[in-house]
Amino acid sequence: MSLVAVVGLAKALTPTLDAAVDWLKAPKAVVGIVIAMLVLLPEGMAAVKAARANQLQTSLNLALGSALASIGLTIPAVAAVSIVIGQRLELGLGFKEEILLALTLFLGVVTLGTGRTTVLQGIVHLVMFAAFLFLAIVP
Amino acid sequence: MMRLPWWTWAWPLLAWLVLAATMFLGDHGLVSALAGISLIATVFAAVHHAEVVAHRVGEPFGTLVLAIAVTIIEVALIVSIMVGTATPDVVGLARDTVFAAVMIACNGVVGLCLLVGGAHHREQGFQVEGASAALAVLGALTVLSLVMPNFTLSTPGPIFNTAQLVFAGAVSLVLYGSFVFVQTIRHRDYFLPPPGTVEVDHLARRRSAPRC
Repeated sequence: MSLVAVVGLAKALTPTLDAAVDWLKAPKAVVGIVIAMLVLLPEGMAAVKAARANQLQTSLNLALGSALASIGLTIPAVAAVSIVIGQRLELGLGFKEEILLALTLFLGVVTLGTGRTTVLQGIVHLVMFAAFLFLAIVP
Repeated sequence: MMRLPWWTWAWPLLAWLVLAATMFLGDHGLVSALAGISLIATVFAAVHHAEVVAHRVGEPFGTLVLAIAVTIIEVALIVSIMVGTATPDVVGLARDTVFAAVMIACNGVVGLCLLVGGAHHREQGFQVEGASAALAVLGALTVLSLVMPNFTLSTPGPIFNTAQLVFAGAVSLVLYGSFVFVQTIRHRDYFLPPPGTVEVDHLARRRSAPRC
């Protein structure tokens, strides 16, 4: 309902975001990280709150669910848009990102494979996240 | 209509005002900063609205509604940048954003959840069936759409041709659609808190808390 109006508004504000990133002279991959962080922030906070309340199932549903929705729905949407407006669309990741992705998937299968988790698995994932951020800014 | 906190209406309203201001004042550092803040606040407000809707439809549809709402905002942002500008910078924006979203969710959010949860409750349990189902779908989705373009021969470079784009889009929809069907209908129990943990729905708790 009101969601539709706010989505339109977010869309309308985009040129400003775009200009702000240009103004900061950030590497272009950072624009994607900013958008992803912006949209995942509220859900990420809900997930951490759930983990604190010993509801790790809800946390994982939120985190993995938003990753899945993000890729499973964005790819068809941008593919359709690129075909309609004839815009070139680069989807292939660089070698560095491919390695990060492969390692993340492998780690996810291992760390979430037993159904019991401790701080160690959390630290491993956070280190991966730090590596991703660092290597995005310092390629 | 359920009563909503004032900020869920005030921030979008302010964002509209800032938007109007940017049209008159042009690109000014201060205006841009203000626009950035109101954009973040507006996204929060939008997600809050989605949470209210999510609560009304109940679990496990709730997290689904949230995930889709977040993705709609993301797609709206990407598409408006794609359509708005024709510079070579934007051709990889969708890939950068989707990859960043996967890394943030699977490493940042999961890592923080495990760390915070582990620090407070030592060891935490969840249902392996649900998590591995999600990871399997995620692996197929990411590799087919983000790695495969580098190795296809129809077009050089990290690009799919039109037929491959249609195929990748269809595959993504099939994978995500199947996951949603399994999560919400066929194997709902895999995604509910495991027996033995106290079931507290964070959305329900939010509702029962007094509205400010």
